[in-house]
Amino acid sequence: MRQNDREGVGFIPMPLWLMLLATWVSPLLGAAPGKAFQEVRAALVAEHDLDGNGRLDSAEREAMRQAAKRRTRDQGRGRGRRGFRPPPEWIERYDTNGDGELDRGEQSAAFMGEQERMRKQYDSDGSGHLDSSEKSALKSDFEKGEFQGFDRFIAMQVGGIQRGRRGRYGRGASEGQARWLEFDRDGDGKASREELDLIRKSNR
Amino acid sequence: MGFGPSMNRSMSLPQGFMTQFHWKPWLGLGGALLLTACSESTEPGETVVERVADPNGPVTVVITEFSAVNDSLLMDRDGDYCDWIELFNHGEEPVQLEGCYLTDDPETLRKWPLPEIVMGQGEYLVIFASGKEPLSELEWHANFGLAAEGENLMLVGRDGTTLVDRIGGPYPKQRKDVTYGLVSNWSMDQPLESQRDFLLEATPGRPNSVNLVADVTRVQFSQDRGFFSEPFELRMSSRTPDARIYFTTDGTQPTPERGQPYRGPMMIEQTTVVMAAAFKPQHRPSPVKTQSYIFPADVARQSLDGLPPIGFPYHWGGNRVDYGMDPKVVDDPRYRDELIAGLRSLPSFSIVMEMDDLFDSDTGIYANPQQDGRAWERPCSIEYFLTDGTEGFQINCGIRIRGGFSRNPGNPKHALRLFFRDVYGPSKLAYPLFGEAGAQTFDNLDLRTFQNYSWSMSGDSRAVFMRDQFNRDLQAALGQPSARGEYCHLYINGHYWGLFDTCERPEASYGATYFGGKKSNFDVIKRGDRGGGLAIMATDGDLDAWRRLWEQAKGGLASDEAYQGLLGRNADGTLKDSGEVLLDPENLIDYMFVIFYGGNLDAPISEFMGNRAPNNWYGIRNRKGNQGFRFFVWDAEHTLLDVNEDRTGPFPAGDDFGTSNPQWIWQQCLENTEFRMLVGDLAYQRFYNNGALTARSVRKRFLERAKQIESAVVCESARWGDSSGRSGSMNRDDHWRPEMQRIADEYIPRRSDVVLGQLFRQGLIPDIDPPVLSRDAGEVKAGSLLSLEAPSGKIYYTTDGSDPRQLGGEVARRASEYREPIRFQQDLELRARAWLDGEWSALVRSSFTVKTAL
Repeated sequence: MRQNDREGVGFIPMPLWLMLLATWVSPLLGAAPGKAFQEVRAALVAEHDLDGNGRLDSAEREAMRQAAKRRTRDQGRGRGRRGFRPPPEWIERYDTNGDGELDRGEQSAAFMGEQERMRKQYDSDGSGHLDSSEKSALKSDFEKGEFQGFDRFIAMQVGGIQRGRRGRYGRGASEGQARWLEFDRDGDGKASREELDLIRKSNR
Repeated sequence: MGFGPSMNRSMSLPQGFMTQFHWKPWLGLGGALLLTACSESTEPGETVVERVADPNGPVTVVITEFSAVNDSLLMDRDGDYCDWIELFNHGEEPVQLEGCYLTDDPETLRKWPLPEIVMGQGEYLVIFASGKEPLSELEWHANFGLAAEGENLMLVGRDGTTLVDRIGGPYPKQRKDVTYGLVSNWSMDQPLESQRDFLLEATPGRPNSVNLVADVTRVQFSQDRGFFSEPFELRMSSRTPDARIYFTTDGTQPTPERGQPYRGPMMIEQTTVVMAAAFKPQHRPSPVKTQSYIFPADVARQSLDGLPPIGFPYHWGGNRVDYGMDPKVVDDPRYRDELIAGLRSLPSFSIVMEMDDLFDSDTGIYANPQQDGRAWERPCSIEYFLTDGTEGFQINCGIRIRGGFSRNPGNPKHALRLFFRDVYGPSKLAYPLFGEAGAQTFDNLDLRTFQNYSWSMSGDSRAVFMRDQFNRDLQAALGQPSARGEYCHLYINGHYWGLFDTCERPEASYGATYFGGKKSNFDVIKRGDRGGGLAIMATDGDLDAWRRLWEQAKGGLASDEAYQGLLGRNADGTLKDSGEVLLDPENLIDYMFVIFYGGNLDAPISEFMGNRAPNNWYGIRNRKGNQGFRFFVWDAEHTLLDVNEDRTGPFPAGDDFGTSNPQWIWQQCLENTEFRMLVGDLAYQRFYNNGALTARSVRKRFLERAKQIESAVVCESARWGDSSGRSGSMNRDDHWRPEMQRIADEYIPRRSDVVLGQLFRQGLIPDIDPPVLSRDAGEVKAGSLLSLEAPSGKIYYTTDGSDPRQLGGEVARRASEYREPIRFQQDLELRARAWLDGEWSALVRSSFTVKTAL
């Protein structure tokens, strides 16, 4: 079990049949809500039970619902991209409420603003959008490694640059795979017994 | 028709062929119409010859060929395979066809007047016989079709009575994709009738082929597909005398040119896929038949050094290459034997197809996984075999790569989609893949695999291969329609490709199968991609009804008039005379419960897009039916992660139509008291009393699914556990089991309480305990008693299934206040609520059947 793991004993796998059996006997597996829900409910009643009758009537529940809606909205309606850490210059440019972070709305504005900034940078004829030659210029800079960090991501968005093909074997080709074609004696691109023997011999 | 020898016969008329005319009225030639007709060699813009024909000249035209069962031979410009008729001008002069007629009815010789067409000497003209609009600028359609069972077909002269040519008496019963007409060496010197026969090859617009003597019967195999542990002798035969069998073992279509001639019995000693067809001169080749013989012991040692198997390509275009089993798993004493058993623990699919159709850099679908659409569909054979002796199937079909993000060429294990079409074989797969309760026929089928939280794509130790499947299972457990799926293994040209799961597609055919009605009446809405951008789109039908639903919801649903209007009802809940039902609220609520339970980060609103965009949802509605939109859990991979995940929102996605989604509809509905009441009622059903979302029920269901793949996961680890190269080799006991146990022992025991708490926080759970019944639903003895008890307040109940609370919150007229135990005298549909200070509890539903003593 994972508890054991935490104690450094190591994970002890449990056969599924045993786990299934435990489903019927475990006191942790209720057929109805358990203590955790009752605790949440009690806390919310304590917070929203204005008339003090020990329960939430419909008006109090409605007030609680509205409060929950506001809270979510105040948090930018969701936490957004997990693990997203905007660069400091973005906070400088887009932290409109000055709390030192980018909430969802500010993040969204940041992505759009940065895309617009890059678009303007390459929109040499000022047409408001990038034509193919302007996109080519952006791509060329991209390939030269001109963009770093989030700028790289923004450049890909604006220039329609796709990740992907890196060589014949796609991304992640091993050194060995990259050599396989050297042994394709009949040039058909497919492995024959003789070619495979040669590759294996050379690998030794 | 099988694919292979006859595969390339499907065609559409070449651009510039005789059916494509450019009309040019030529004034001053006695009213004669001149037209320019492009020959096959005419290039666009090239000068064409203008011809004149005597409108009263002889009609030197005969019917040379026709197809009365055109299943895949010749496509019209709508993409339909209609019957067609070929005419030929055998005379010395051009012929003006205007005034002549085609007919299939001896009593109505002037059935379809031929248009103003001049046929040059030696030219062919193809006319579709479809009943479609009779005239178009691009191709001609006669106003009748041809009877497959046989009838007359006549070309009638300008007087409307003279038979210029006649095939009939009647013509013989016609066969699928075999044309009938004049044999290749026909002559006007002999009676035409005696020179007509079935033709070996369809040749619309070209000289005819020789006559078809017969079809070669299909190849018979002495051994059917399946799993084997011992070598065996394979014999192939055809009942057609002197037919020659050609076969391949690498997915190549067998033809006399590309296949090996079968010379006698051969030993099958290792995993082998055999495709075979039989040929004979002047005979139509047999359909290609495929048999996969899988030797699990041999599969376990496929490409242990990672090199391509013989006949497989060295590279997959731009896609990352990954072959072979991982010796660390294969040789691990924990898995050595179970791996073999694991291969037999699930049904298997075997895809056999041309290697180049998969892996060619320019045309292979696997080598170009980001390409989609019909242009990136390829023919294949798919076999399905089980290990319990149940008969499987083999069918020829089309195959594409499926998926969104997973199309990334860095991912070596792609999901696949099969299409059953006439052009490949049967137009439907007829097989009970999901048992007798499931659909019996399929237009298409998904072979899903696992992308996020997988070993193959990301080397993720959280891989359990169950997230999506289990969420779909949960939706079904709530009694809602859901996309069914079952686990399976997949082989591609005999090479093991890992663990997959089938998945029905919630499309029009799904609607017609499970909800009834015509396929053409269903609207299927989803979030799709259009032109590289996000779009809400109708994969079947149109967006009109979905837009009406969204617009009405946008207008606000707080009032009963607005909310009930979505249900086709008046504000007081009575049915409108011609009210349109746009929403099935119980379906929506259950759908959202599954989303919340799984903590779904990517459906129907995506947290990865800042909760501002929808993703991974389907909605289906029959335009002619009386049910609202019903929603389907889809691609639920980002689930079962953080036990405290809260996806209840509200989120902004859906504020505009372009991002509309079911959760936004839910959010709008929450403004309505009646909807909130219904949420509370259903939450009580699902999260209490062993309901489908109680910890015990969910865990049992989860583990039962997990048990199905417990051994198969070993096979997946051998094939893909080392794929990402990130974390070494992933295996079942060290990686899969811990994550399984985390979900089973940490997530599930707590999740129901967490979600119920989230719903409570949203004000959706009434804070009055519902009545408790003294006995469970089911059979009861006549005369026995039922007690109801509520901790506080009064209890109101009905026994006819109606709600004791009426819309608006008053006590319903049919409701009774509970004062004493209820005596069972007849079957009861009990409904009860507690009532306190004008507030109602959730609804208790219980059905009792009275058992009469014998």
